[in-house]
Amino acid sequence: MINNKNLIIVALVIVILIMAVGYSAFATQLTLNGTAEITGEWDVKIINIEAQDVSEGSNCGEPQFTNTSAIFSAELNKPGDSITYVVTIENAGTIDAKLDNITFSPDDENGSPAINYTTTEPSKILNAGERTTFTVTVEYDLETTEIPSIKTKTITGIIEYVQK
Amino acid sequence: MGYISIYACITIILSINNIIFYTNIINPLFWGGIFTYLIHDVKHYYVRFSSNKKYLAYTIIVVCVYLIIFFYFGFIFGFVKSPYNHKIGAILENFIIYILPIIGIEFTRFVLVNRNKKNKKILIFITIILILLEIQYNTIKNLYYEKEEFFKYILSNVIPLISYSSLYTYLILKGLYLLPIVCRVIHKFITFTLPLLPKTNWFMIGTIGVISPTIIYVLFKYVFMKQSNDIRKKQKNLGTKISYIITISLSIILVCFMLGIFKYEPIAILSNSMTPTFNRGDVLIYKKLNEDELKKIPKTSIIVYSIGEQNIAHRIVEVIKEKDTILYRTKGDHNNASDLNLVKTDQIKGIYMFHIKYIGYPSVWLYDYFNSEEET
Repeated sequence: MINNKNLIIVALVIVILIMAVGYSAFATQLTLNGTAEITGEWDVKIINIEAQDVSEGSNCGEPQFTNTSAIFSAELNKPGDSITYVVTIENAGTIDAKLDNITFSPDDENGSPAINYTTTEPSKILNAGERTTFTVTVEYDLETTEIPSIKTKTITGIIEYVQK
Repeated sequence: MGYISIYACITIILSINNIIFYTNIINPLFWGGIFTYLIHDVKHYYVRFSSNKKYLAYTIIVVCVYLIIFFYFGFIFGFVKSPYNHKIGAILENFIIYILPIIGIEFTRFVLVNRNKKNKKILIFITIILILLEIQYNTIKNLYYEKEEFFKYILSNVIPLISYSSLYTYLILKGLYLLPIVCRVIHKFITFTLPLLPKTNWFMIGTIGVISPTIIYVLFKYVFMKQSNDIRKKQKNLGTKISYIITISLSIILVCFMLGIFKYEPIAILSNSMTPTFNRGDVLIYKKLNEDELKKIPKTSIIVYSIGEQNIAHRIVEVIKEKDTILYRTKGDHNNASDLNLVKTDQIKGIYMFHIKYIGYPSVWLYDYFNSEEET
Protein backbone atom coordinates (compact mmCIF):
# COMPACT_ATOMS: atom_id res chain seq x y z
CA MET A 1 0.00 0.00 0.00
CA ILE A 2 1.23 3.46 -0.84
CA ASN A 3 1.61 5.59 2.25
CA ASN A 4 0.98 9.35 2.35
CA LYS A 5 4.61 10.35 1.81
CA ASN A 6 5.06 8.10 -1.21
CA LEU A 7 1.75 9.38 -2.57
CA ILE A 8 3.15 12.92 -2.65
CA ILE A 9 6.26 11.74 -4.51
CA VAL A 10 4.15 9.77 -7.02
CA ALA A 11 1.75 12.73 -7.51
CA LEU A 12 4.67 15.12 -8.06
CA VAL A 13 6.30 12.82 -10.61
CA ILE A 14 3.01 12.28 -12.49
CA VAL A 15 2.17 15.98 -12.66
CA ILE A 16 5.68 16.93 -13.82
CA LEU A 17 5.61 14.19 -16.48
CA ILE A 18 2.18 15.31 -17.77
CA MET A 19 3.48 18.87 -18.00
CA ALA A 20 6.65 17.73 -19.77
CA VAL A 21 4.60 15.72 -22.29
CA GLY A 22 2.26 18.68 -22.85
CA TYR A 23 5.17 21.07 -23.24
CA SER A 24 6.77 18.86 -25.91
CA ALA A 25 3.46 18.44 -27.71
CA PHE A 26 2.73 22.14 -27.99
CA ALA A 27 6.34 23.21 -28.55
CA THR A 28 5.56 26.56 -27.01
CA GLN A 29 8.33 29.09 -27.12
CA LEU A 30 9.25 31.63 -24.50
CA THR A 31 8.56 34.54 -26.80
CA LEU A 32 5.34 36.03 -25.57
CA ASN A 33 5.26 39.71 -26.27
CA GLY A 34 4.13 42.33 -23.84
CA THR A 35 2.53 40.74 -20.89
CA ALA A 36 2.72 37.69 -18.70
CA GLU A 37 0.63 34.53 -19.08
CA ILE A 38 -3.07 34.50 -18.38
CA THR A 39 -3.90 34.98 -14.74
CA GLY A 40 -7.46 35.04 -13.49
CA GLU A 41 -7.78 38.79 -13.32
CA TRP A 42 -5.75 39.84 -16.37
CA ASP A 43 -6.80 37.98 -19.48
CA VAL A 44 -6.70 40.22 -22.56
CA LYS A 45 -5.76 38.34 -25.69
CA ILE A 46 -6.30 37.84 -29.40
CA ILE A 47 -8.84 35.05 -29.79
CA ASN A 48 -9.39 34.83 -33.53
CA ILE A 49 -8.16 35.98 -36.94
CA GLU A 50 -10.40 35.49 -39.92
CA ALA A 51 -9.57 36.25 -43.56
CA GLN A 52 -12.40 37.99 -45.44
CA ASP A 53 -12.76 39.43 -48.96
CA VAL A 54 -9.97 37.29 -50.39
CA SER A 55 -9.43 38.14 -54.09
CA GLU A 56 -9.63 35.22 -56.49
CA GLY A 57 -6.30 33.39 -56.78
CA SER A 58 -4.91 34.97 -53.62
CA ASN A 59 -3.79 32.95 -50.64
CA CYS A 60 -4.48 34.23 -47.14
CA GLY A 61 -2.22 31.60 -45.49
CA GLU A 62 -2.88 30.58 -41.93
CA PRO A 63 -2.55 33.64 -39.69
CA GLN A 64 -0.73 32.83 -36.47
CA PHE A 65 -1.23 34.61 -33.19
CA THR A 66 -0.21 34.63 -29.55
CA ASN A 67 -1.97 36.59 -26.83
CA THR A 68 -0.58 39.91 -28.05
CA SER A 69 0.93 39.36 -31.48
CA ALA A 70 -0.32 38.30 -34.90
CA ILE A 71 1.48 37.25 -38.08
CA PHE A 72 -0.23 37.59 -41.47
CA SER A 73 1.33 36.01 -44.56
CA ALA A 74 -0.53 37.00 -47.72
CA GLU A 75 0.10 35.90 -51.30
CA LEU A 76 -1.33 38.25 -53.93
CA ASN A 77 -0.92 37.67 -57.67
CA LYS A 78 -1.86 40.83 -59.54
CA PRO A 79 -2.43 44.56 -59.00
CA GLY A 80 -5.74 45.22 -57.29
CA ASP A 81 -5.79 41.93 -55.37
CA SER A 82 -6.44 42.22 -51.64
CA ILE A 83 -7.14 40.25 -48.46
CA THR A 84 -8.77 41.63 -45.32
CA TYR A 85 -8.00 39.97 -42.00
CA VAL A 86 -10.40 40.58 -39.12
CA VAL A 87 -8.70 40.25 -35.73
CA THR A 88 -10.80 39.74 -32.60
CA ILE A 89 -9.47 40.65 -29.15
CA GLU A 90 -11.26 39.67 -25.97
CA ASN A 91 -10.96 40.87 -22.38
CA ALA A 92 -11.98 37.72 -20.51
CA GLY A 93 -10.44 38.92 -17.24
CA THR A 94 -11.94 41.11 -14.56
CA ILE A 95 -9.81 44.24 -15.10
CA ASP A 96 -10.78 46.97 -17.57
CA ALA A 97 -8.09 47.60 -20.17
CA LYS A 98 -6.94 50.42 -22.45
CA LEU A 99 -4.90 50.21 -25.63
CA ASP A 100 -1.25 50.95 -24.89
CA ASN A 101 0.57 50.07 -28.08
CA ILE A 102 -0.26 48.85 -31.55
CA THR A 103 2.50 48.44 -34.12
CA PHE A 104 2.78 46.65 -37.44
CA SER A 105 6.06 45.70 -39.08
CA PRO A 106 6.12 44.35 -42.62
CA ASP A 107 8.94 42.03 -43.66
CA ASP A 108 10.14 44.28 -46.51
CA GLU A 109 13.41 42.38 -46.92
CA ASN A 110 11.77 39.15 -48.08
CA GLY A 111 8.37 40.45 -49.21
CA SER A 112 7.06 42.05 -52.38
CA PRO A 113 7.59 45.84 -52.51
CA ALA A 114 4.31 46.13 -54.47
CA ILE A 115 2.22 44.82 -51.59
CA ASN A 116 1.04 47.41 -49.06
CA TYR A 117 -1.19 47.23 -46.05
CA THR A 118 -3.66 49.40 -44.16
CA THR A 119 -5.15 48.85 -40.73
CA THR A 120 -8.00 50.05 -38.57
CA GLU A 121 -7.61 50.49 -34.81
CA PRO A 122 -9.27 48.32 -32.16
CA SER A 123 -11.26 50.00 -29.35
CA LYS A 124 -9.07 52.18 -27.16
CA ILE A 125 -10.98 50.99 -24.09
CA LEU A 126 -11.76 47.31 -23.61
CA ASN A 127 -13.72 46.76 -20.44
CA ALA A 128 -13.86 43.38 -18.71
CA GLY A 129 -16.01 40.94 -20.65
CA GLU A 130 -15.92 42.99 -23.90
CA ARG A 131 -14.61 42.15 -27.35
CA THR A 132 -13.24 44.39 -30.08
CA THR A 133 -12.15 43.84 -33.66
CA PHE A 134 -9.85 45.58 -36.09
CA THR A 135 -8.84 44.84 -39.65
CA VAL A 136 -5.58 44.48 -41.54
CA THR A 137 -6.02 44.84 -45.30
CA VAL A 138 -3.17 43.69 -47.53
CA GLU A 139 -3.34 45.10 -51.08
CA TYR A 140 -1.39 44.72 -54.28
CA ASP A 141 -0.58 48.28 -55.45
CA LEU A 142 -2.86 49.13 -58.41
CA GLU A 143 -0.33 51.51 -59.93
CA THR A 144 2.51 49.03 -60.10
CA THR A 145 3.99 48.85 -63.56
CA GLU A 146 6.61 46.19 -62.88
CA ILE A 147 5.41 42.87 -61.51
CA PRO A 148 7.99 41.56 -58.99
CA SER A 149 8.67 37.82 -58.89
CA ILE A 150 7.93 37.71 -55.13
CA LYS A 151 4.20 37.67 -54.54
CA THR A 152 4.07 37.36 -50.79
CA LYS A 153 4.36 39.68 -47.80
CA THR A 154 4.45 38.91 -44.09
CA ILE A 155 3.25 41.49 -41.59
CA THR A 156 3.69 41.17 -37.84
CA GLY A 157 1.40 43.09 -35.52
CA ILE A 158 1.84 43.73 -31.81
CA ILE A 159 -1.25 44.77 -29.88
CA GLU A 160 -0.78 45.55 -26.20
CA TYR A 161 -3.44 46.53 -23.71
CA VAL A 162 -2.75 47.66 -20.14
CA GLN A 163 -4.96 48.21 -17.11
CA LYS A 164 -7.21 51.27 -17.54
CA MET B 1 -17.37 27.08 8.28
CA GLY B 2 -20.97 26.83 7.11
CA TYR B 3 -20.94 30.46 5.93
CA ILE B 4 -17.72 29.89 4.02
CA SER B 5 -19.18 26.78 2.32
CA ILE B 6 -22.31 28.72 1.27
CA TYR B 7 -20.14 31.56 0.02
CA ALA B 8 -18.06 29.05 -2.00
CA CYS B 9 -21.29 28.01 -3.79
CA ILE B 10 -22.19 31.67 -4.45
CA THR B 11 -18.65 32.27 -5.75
CA ILE B 12 -18.92 29.39 -8.22
CA ILE B 13 -22.24 30.69 -9.61
CA LEU B 14 -21.22 34.36 -9.85
CA SER B 15 -17.64 33.81 -10.94
CA ILE B 16 -18.60 31.39 -13.73
CA ASN B 17 -20.56 34.22 -15.35
CA ASN B 18 -17.74 36.71 -14.73
CA ILE B 19 -20.05 39.15 -12.95
CA ILE B 20 -17.83 42.18 -12.43
CA PHE B 21 -20.06 43.45 -9.61
CA TYR B 22 -19.20 40.26 -7.69
CA THR B 23 -15.43 40.57 -8.31
CA ASN B 24 -15.17 44.28 -7.64
CA ILE B 25 -17.75 44.76 -4.86
CA ILE B 26 -19.22 41.61 -3.29
CA ASN B 27 -16.00 39.59 -2.96
CA PRO B 28 -13.81 42.32 -1.35
CA LEU B 29 -16.71 43.31 0.94
CA PHE B 30 -17.26 39.71 2.03
CA TRP B 31 -13.58 39.09 2.80
CA GLY B 32 -13.25 42.50 4.41
CA GLY B 33 -16.14 41.50 6.70
CA ILE B 34 -14.53 38.13 7.44
CA PHE B 35 -11.27 39.92 8.22
CA THR B 36 -13.03 42.16 10.77
CA TYR B 37 -15.02 39.27 12.22
CA LEU B 38 -11.99 37.00 12.69
CA ILE B 39 -9.49 39.61 13.87
CA HIS B 40 -10.15 38.75 17.54
CA ASP B 41 -9.52 35.00 16.92
CA VAL B 42 -6.43 35.78 14.87
CA LYS B 43 -5.02 37.91 17.73
CA HIS B 44 -5.77 35.10 20.19
CA TYR B 45 -3.85 32.46 18.19
CA TYR B 46 -1.16 34.94 17.22
CA VAL B 47 -0.27 35.57 20.89
CA ARG B 48 0.04 31.81 21.42
CA PHE B 49 2.44 31.35 18.53
CA SER B 50 4.35 34.63 18.51
CA SER B 51 6.82 33.33 21.08
CA ASN B 52 8.34 31.03 18.45
CA LYS B 53 10.90 33.37 16.88
CA LYS B 54 12.43 30.54 14.86
CA TYR B 55 9.30 30.26 12.73
CA LEU B 56 9.43 33.96 11.98
CA ALA B 57 13.01 33.51 10.77
CA TYR B 58 11.93 30.61 8.51
CA THR B 59 9.19 32.81 7.05
CA ILE B 60 11.69 35.55 6.21
CA ILE B 61 14.08 33.01 4.63
CA VAL B 62 11.34 31.48 2.43
CA VAL B 63 10.16 34.93 1.29
CA CYS B 64 13.74 35.99 0.45
CA VAL B 65 14.38 32.78 -1.51
CA TYR B 66 11.09 33.31 -3.35
CA LEU B 67 12.11 36.85 -4.34
CA ILE B 68 15.55 35.66 -5.48
CA ILE B 69 13.99 32.92 -7.66
CA PHE B 70 11.42 35.40 -9.03
CA PHE B 71 14.11 37.78 -10.26
CA TYR B 72 16.52 35.00 -11.24
CA PHE B 73 13.95 33.73 -13.78
CA GLY B 74 13.70 37.26 -15.12
CA PHE B 75 17.45 37.41 -15.68
CA ILE B 76 17.46 34.02 -17.46
CA PHE B 77 14.36 34.39 -19.64
CA GLY B 78 14.05 38.17 -19.75
CA PHE B 79 11.39 40.54 -18.49
CA VAL B 80 8.12 41.65 -20.02
CA LYS B 81 6.09 44.76 -19.44
CA SER B 82 3.50 44.47 -16.69
CA PRO B 83 -0.06 45.11 -17.87
CA TYR B 84 -1.10 46.60 -14.53
CA ASN B 85 -1.63 50.31 -13.89
CA HIS B 86 0.98 51.64 -11.44
CA LYS B 87 -0.75 54.82 -10.31
CA ILE B 88 -1.41 54.92 -6.55
CA GLY B 89 -5.20 54.84 -7.06
CA ALA B 90 -5.03 51.74 -9.28
CA ILE B 91 -2.64 49.94 -6.90
CA LEU B 92 -5.03 50.67 -4.05
CA GLU B 93 -7.96 49.44 -6.14
CA ASN B 94 -6.09 46.22 -7.02
CA PHE B 95 -5.20 45.79 -3.36
CA ILE B 96 -8.85 46.01 -2.29
CA ILE B 97 -10.19 43.82 -5.12
CA TYR B 98 -7.48 41.15 -5.29
CA ILE B 99 -5.25 41.25 -2.19
CA LEU B 100 -7.86 41.82 0.50
CA PRO B 101 -9.71 38.57 -0.43
CA ILE B 102 -6.37 36.71 -0.13
CA ILE B 103 -5.86 38.10 3.38
CA GLY B 104 -9.44 37.12 4.23
CA ILE B 105 -8.96 33.60 2.89
CA GLU B 106 -5.70 33.10 4.80
CA PHE B 107 -7.19 34.49 8.03
CA THR B 108 -10.09 32.07 7.59
CA ARG B 109 -7.69 29.17 7.00
CA PHE B 110 -5.67 30.19 10.05
CA VAL B 111 -8.65 30.32 12.38
CA LEU B 112 -10.47 27.25 11.02
CA VAL B 113 -7.33 25.09 11.06
CA ASN B 114 -6.55 26.10 14.64
CA ARG B 115 -10.12 25.39 15.72
CA ASN B 116 -10.13 21.92 14.13
CA LYS B 117 -6.52 20.86 14.63
CA LYS B 118 -7.28 17.30 15.63
CA ASN B 119 -9.88 16.45 13.00
CA LYS B 120 -8.08 15.44 9.81
CA LYS B 121 -11.27 15.11 7.74
CA ILE B 122 -12.39 18.64 8.59
CA LEU B 123 -8.92 19.96 7.74
CA ILE B 124 -9.16 18.34 4.30
CA PHE B 125 -12.68 19.78 3.88
CA ILE B 126 -11.44 23.28 4.83
CA THR B 127 -8.61 23.01 2.27
CA ILE B 128 -11.01 21.88 -0.47
CA ILE B 129 -13.46 24.74 0.25
CA LEU B 130 -10.63 27.30 0.19
CA ILE B 131 -9.38 25.84 -3.12
CA LEU B 132 -12.90 26.08 -4.58
CA LEU B 133 -13.08 29.71 -3.48
CA GLU B 134 -10.02 30.64 -5.51
CA ILE B 135 -10.59 28.83 -8.80
CA GLN B 136 -11.27 31.23 -11.69
CA TYR B 137 -14.46 29.65 -12.99
CA ASN B 138 -15.00 32.20 -15.74
CA THR B 139 -11.58 31.39 -17.25
CA ILE B 140 -12.30 27.66 -17.07
CA LYS B 141 -15.66 28.25 -18.76
CA ASN B 142 -14.04 30.37 -21.51
CA LEU B 143 -11.32 27.82 -22.17
CA TYR B 144 -13.45 24.70 -21.88
CA TYR B 145 -13.93 24.29 -25.63
CA GLU B 146 -10.32 25.11 -26.45
CA LYS B 147 -8.89 21.80 -25.25
CA GLU B 148 -5.22 22.78 -25.54
CA GLU B 149 -5.63 26.04 -23.59
CA PHE B 150 -7.83 24.30 -21.05
CA PHE B 151 -5.13 21.66 -20.49
CA LYS B 152 -2.50 24.37 -20.02
CA TYR B 153 -4.71 26.38 -17.67
CA ILE B 154 -5.50 23.42 -15.42
CA LEU B 155 -1.82 22.46 -15.15
CA SER B 156 -0.52 25.98 -14.66
CA ASN B 157 -3.23 27.36 -12.35
CA VAL B 158 -5.47 24.77 -10.75
CA ILE B 159 -2.86 22.11 -9.89
CA PRO B 160 -0.47 24.69 -8.31
CA LEU B 161 -3.45 26.15 -6.41
CA ILE B 162 -4.18 22.70 -4.96
CA SER B 163 -0.49 22.16 -4.09
CA TYR B 164 -0.09 25.53 -2.41
CA SER B 165 -3.39 25.38 -0.56
CA SER B 166 -2.54 21.95 0.88
CA LEU B 167 0.88 23.25 1.91
CA TYR B 168 -0.56 26.33 3.61
CA THR B 169 -2.98 24.23 5.65
CA TYR B 170 -0.07 21.97 6.69
CA LEU B 171 2.15 24.93 7.65
CA ILE B 172 -0.57 26.58 9.75
CA LEU B 173 -1.25 23.25 11.40
CA LYS B 174 2.42 23.13 12.38
CA GLY B 175 2.41 26.69 13.73
CA LEU B 176 3.88 28.59 10.78
CA TYR B 177 0.95 30.96 10.85
CA LEU B 178 2.61 33.87 9.04
CA LEU B 179 4.20 32.15 6.07
CA PRO B 180 1.14 31.60 3.81
CA ILE B 181 -0.24 35.11 4.17
CA VAL B 182 3.14 36.85 3.84
CA CYS B 183 4.14 34.82 0.74
CA ARG B 184 0.83 35.33 -0.99
CA VAL B 185 0.51 39.04 -0.27
CA ILE B 186 4.11 39.75 -1.34
CA HIS B 187 3.65 37.76 -4.55
CA LYS B 188 0.47 39.65 -5.48
CA PHE B 189 1.88 42.98 -4.37
CA ILE B 190 5.00 42.75 -6.54
CA THR B 191 2.88 41.53 -9.47
CA PHE B 192 0.72 44.64 -9.21
CA THR B 193 3.48 47.17 -8.51
CA LEU B 194 6.54 46.18 -10.55
CA PRO B 195 6.72 47.69 -14.05
CA LEU B 196 8.48 44.59 -15.39
CA LEU B 197 7.71 40.96 -14.66
CA PRO B 198 9.72 37.84 -15.53
CA LYS B 199 8.78 36.32 -18.87
CA THR B 200 6.98 33.09 -18.16
CA ASN B 201 4.96 30.43 -19.89
CA TRP B 202 2.40 27.93 -18.62
CA PHE B 203 4.95 25.14 -18.25
CA MET B 204 7.22 27.26 -16.07
CA ILE B 205 4.36 28.53 -13.90
CA GLY B 206 2.93 25.02 -13.55
CA THR B 207 6.16 23.23 -12.67
CA ILE B 208 7.26 25.92 -10.21
CA GLY B 209 3.78 25.77 -8.72
CA VAL B 210 4.15 22.06 -8.04
CA ILE B 211 7.83 21.72 -7.20
CA SER B 212 8.18 24.68 -4.83
CA PRO B 213 5.36 23.66 -2.45
CA THR B 214 6.89 20.17 -2.35
CA ILE B 215 10.33 21.60 -1.52
CA ILE B 216 8.88 23.81 1.21
CA TYR B 217 6.95 20.83 2.58
CA VAL B 218 10.07 18.63 2.67
CA LEU B 219 12.18 21.38 4.26
CA PHE B 220 9.72 21.99 7.06
CA LYS B 221 9.10 18.28 7.49
CA TYR B 222 12.86 18.06 8.12
CA VAL B 223 12.78 21.01 10.52
CA PHE B 224 9.89 19.51 12.51
CA MET B 225 11.62 16.11 12.51
CA LYS B 226 14.80 17.65 13.91
CA GLN B 227 12.80 19.24 16.69
CA SER B 228 11.13 15.94 17.50
CA ASN B 229 12.51 13.77 20.31
CA ASP B 230 11.20 10.51 18.86
CA ILE B 231 14.32 8.66 17.58
CA ARG B 232 12.33 5.92 15.79
CA LYS B 233 10.35 8.55 13.90
CA LYS B 234 13.63 10.29 12.98
CA GLN B 235 15.11 7.10 11.51
CA LYS B 236 11.90 6.32 9.60
CA ASN B 237 11.78 9.84 8.14
CA LEU B 238 15.39 9.69 6.96
CA GLY B 239 14.55 7.23 4.16
CA THR B 240 11.58 9.32 3.04
CA LYS B 241 13.73 12.44 3.10
CA ILE B 242 16.25 10.83 0.72
CA SER B 243 13.48 9.77 -1.70
CA TYR B 244 12.10 13.33 -1.62
CA ILE B 245 15.51 14.85 -2.33
CA ILE B 246 16.12 12.47 -5.25
CA THR B 247 12.64 13.02 -6.75
CA ILE B 248 12.74 16.80 -6.39
CA SER B 249 16.29 17.05 -7.77
CA LEU B 250 15.38 14.93 -10.81
CA SER B 251 12.19 16.97 -11.34
CA ILE B 252 14.13 20.25 -11.23
CA ILE B 253 16.73 18.90 -13.69
CA LEU B 254 13.96 17.68 -16.04
CA VAL B 255 12.14 21.02 -15.91
CA CYS B 256 15.35 23.03 -16.50
CA PHE B 257 16.18 20.70 -19.41
CA MET B 258 12.72 21.18 -20.95
CA LEU B 259 12.88 24.95 -20.46
CA GLY B 260 16.19 25.15 -22.29
CA ILE B 261 18.28 26.42 -19.40
CA PHE B 262 21.05 23.97 -20.33
CA LYS B 263 23.04 23.95 -23.57
CA TYR B 264 21.06 20.91 -24.72
CA GLU B 265 17.30 20.88 -25.22
CA PRO B 266 14.79 18.18 -26.24
CA ILE B 267 11.90 18.24 -28.73
CA ALA B 268 9.39 15.51 -29.53
CA ILE B 269 9.24 14.52 -33.21
CA LEU B 270 5.68 14.82 -34.49
CA SER B 271 6.11 13.83 -38.16
CA ASN B 272 7.93 11.24 -40.27
CA SER B 273 9.61 13.76 -42.55
CA MET B 274 13.11 12.68 -41.37
CA THR B 275 12.57 8.91 -41.57
CA PRO B 276 14.76 6.81 -41.48
CA THR B 277 17.17 9.06 -39.52
CA PHE B 278 14.57 9.46 -36.77
CA ASN B 279 10.84 8.85 -36.63
CA ARG B 280 7.62 10.25 -35.27
CA GLY B 281 7.51 9.54 -31.54
CA ASP B 282 11.28 9.89 -31.00
CA VAL B 283 12.77 12.64 -28.86
CA LEU B 284 15.54 14.64 -30.46
CA ILE B 285 18.23 16.33 -28.39
CA TYR B 286 19.77 19.40 -29.98
CA LYS B 287 22.62 21.66 -28.98
CA LYS B 288 22.14 25.42 -28.92
CA LEU B 289 24.61 27.46 -30.97
CA ASN B 290 26.16 30.88 -30.49
CA GLU B 291 26.07 33.62 -33.16
CA ASP B 292 29.35 32.57 -34.79
CA GLU B 293 28.42 28.90 -34.85
CA LEU B 294 25.04 29.72 -36.44
CA LYS B 295 26.84 31.11 -39.51
CA LYS B 296 29.13 28.12 -39.89
CA ILE B 297 26.77 25.14 -39.84
CA PRO B 298 28.06 22.64 -42.43
CA LYS B 299 25.90 21.20 -45.20
CA THR B 300 24.21 17.86 -44.33
CA SER B 301 23.82 18.86 -40.66
CA ILE B 302 20.37 18.49 -39.16
CA ILE B 303 19.11 21.73 -37.62
CA VAL B 304 16.15 22.56 -35.43
CA TYR B 305 14.47 25.81 -36.46
CA SER B 306 11.19 27.53 -35.78
CA ILE B 307 8.43 28.98 -37.95
CA GLY B 308 6.01 30.83 -35.72
CA GLU B 309 5.35 28.49 -32.81
CA GLN B 310 6.24 25.35 -34.74
CA ASN B 311 9.65 23.67 -34.42
CA ILE B 312 11.06 21.77 -37.39
CA ALA B 313 14.10 19.46 -37.53
CA HIS B 314 15.38 19.09 -41.13
CA ARG B 315 18.70 18.56 -42.89
CA ILE B 316 20.64 21.41 -44.56
CA VAL B 317 20.96 20.69 -48.29
CA GLU B 318 22.43 24.04 -49.38
CA VAL B 319 24.19 26.93 -47.70
CA ILE B 320 23.45 30.25 -49.43
CA LYS B 321 25.65 33.30 -48.77
CA GLU B 322 24.05 36.66 -49.62
CA LYS B 323 26.32 39.62 -48.73
CA ASP B 324 26.59 39.38 -44.94
CA THR B 325 23.67 37.05 -44.40
CA ILE B 326 23.72 33.26 -44.41
CA LEU B 327 20.61 31.36 -45.45
CA TYR B 328 20.08 27.61 -45.31
CA ARG B 329 17.96 25.49 -47.63
CA THR B 330 16.56 22.53 -45.74
CA LYS B 331 14.82 19.27 -46.59
CA GLY B 332 13.34 16.35 -44.69
CA ASP B 333 15.17 13.08 -45.51
CA HIS B 334 11.83 11.46 -46.32
CA ASN B 335 10.53 14.38 -48.42
CA ASN B 336 10.91 14.59 -52.20
CA ALA B 337 11.41 18.35 -52.33
CA SER B 338 13.24 20.97 -50.29
CA ASP B 339 11.32 23.14 -47.83
CA LEU B 340 9.61 26.18 -49.39
CA ASN B 341 11.24 28.87 -47.27
CA LEU B 342 14.93 29.42 -46.66
CA VAL B 343 15.97 29.37 -43.00
CA LYS B 344 17.55 32.48 -41.47
CA THR B 345 20.08 32.18 -38.65
CA ASP B 346 17.72 33.86 -36.18
CA GLN B 347 15.19 31.06 -36.75
CA ILE B 348 17.68 28.33 -35.81
CA LYS B 349 17.36 26.90 -32.33
CA GLY B 350 20.19 24.38 -32.51
CA ILE B 351 21.90 21.47 -34.17
CA TYR B 352 20.92 17.80 -33.87
CA MET B 353 23.06 15.76 -31.47
CA PHE B 354 21.23 12.47 -30.95
CA HIS B 355 17.75 11.04 -30.51
CA ILE B 356 15.99 8.65 -28.14
CA LYS B 357 13.50 6.27 -29.68
CA TYR B 358 9.81 6.11 -28.77
CA ILE B 359 9.82 8.23 -25.59
CA GLY B 360 8.10 11.14 -27.35
CA TYR B 361 4.97 9.13 -28.12
CA PRO B 362 2.89 10.52 -25.22
CA SER B 363 3.51 14.03 -26.62
CA VAL B 364 2.55 12.84 -30.12
CA TRP B 365 -0.71 11.34 -28.83
CA LEU B 366 -1.53 14.49 -26.93
CA TYR B 367 -0.75 16.66 -29.97
CA ASP B 368 -2.92 14.41 -32.19
CA TYR B 369 -5.74 14.48 -29.66
CA PHE B 370 -5.86 18.26 -29.46
CA ASN B 371 -5.46 18.73 -33.20
CA SER B 372 -8.20 16.23 -34.03
CA GLU B 373 -10.46 18.11 -31.57
CA GLU B 374 -9.73 21.37 -33.37
CA GLU B 375 -10.50 19.86 -36.77
CA THR B 376 -13.87 18.42 -35.77
